[in-house]
Amino acid sequence: MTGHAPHEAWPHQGRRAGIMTRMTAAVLDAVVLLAIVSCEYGMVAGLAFLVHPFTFGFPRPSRWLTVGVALASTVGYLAAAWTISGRTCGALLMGLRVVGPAGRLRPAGALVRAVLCVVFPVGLLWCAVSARNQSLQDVVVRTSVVYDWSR
Amino acid sequence: MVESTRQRRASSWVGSVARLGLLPLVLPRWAARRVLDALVPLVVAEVLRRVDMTTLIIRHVDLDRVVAEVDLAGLVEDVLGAVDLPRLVRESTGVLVSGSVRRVRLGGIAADEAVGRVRGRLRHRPTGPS
Repeated sequence: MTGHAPHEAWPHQGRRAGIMTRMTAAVLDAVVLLAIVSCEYGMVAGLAFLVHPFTFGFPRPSRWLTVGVALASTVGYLAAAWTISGRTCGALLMGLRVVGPAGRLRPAGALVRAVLCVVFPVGLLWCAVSARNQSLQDVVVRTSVVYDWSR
Repeated sequence: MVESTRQRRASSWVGSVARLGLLPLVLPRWAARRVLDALVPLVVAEVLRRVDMTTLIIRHVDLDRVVAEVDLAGLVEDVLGAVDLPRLVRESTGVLVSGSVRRVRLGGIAADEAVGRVRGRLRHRPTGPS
């Protein structure tokens, strides 16, 4: 795990990450998700323009639809990222990786963890209290977020 | 007749040099090279110091013709090919980005450790009599 990490980071590799790093990664992911949802809206608007070019107007989705799409996008983004590499964009930047009891997270575990994170994001704050730096989602799904600077 | 007179004069000149003991001055080639190696740079430097080369070139050299003879496009292509500019830009930006990311990550780890220390202190705080 220390393969590509600089020597000053070696002592931390594989250790559970704390609240500050994870919060920073979460904020970065929120920015990425905002960009994703904006792109989705742009694609829908573009499609609407192609279908009705003369009567085109920017779509005005209902609040519930917007929230639903945003939540679904978040769940999809998190589950896909954790399944594929164990890290989202924010986690990649902060050098974090989500691991399960047997290493890489399985798709079902990643999906459950993603849903829990979306439904109860405040659970992340449990990191600050937990001696093992685990959020409530980590406790439920038996996962850990560790420092991993390898590529 | 004239030729024999010249030969006689030359032989008599060599003879007189021999008599004077100056023959060692006729140096072998390797020694002459050494003398010239030491002497020529000094002489040329002194000459150049006394001559304004820039003015000479401007006055006597057709610079436009010289530039026209040079394949500037080919030269620039060769230089760019040798320098590999895209790789340089890529590496320099990569170093900048990786340096910033490293600082952010190490800062995050330090903040995590600070939170951990506070948590540890709160946990081990002695409780008062109740």
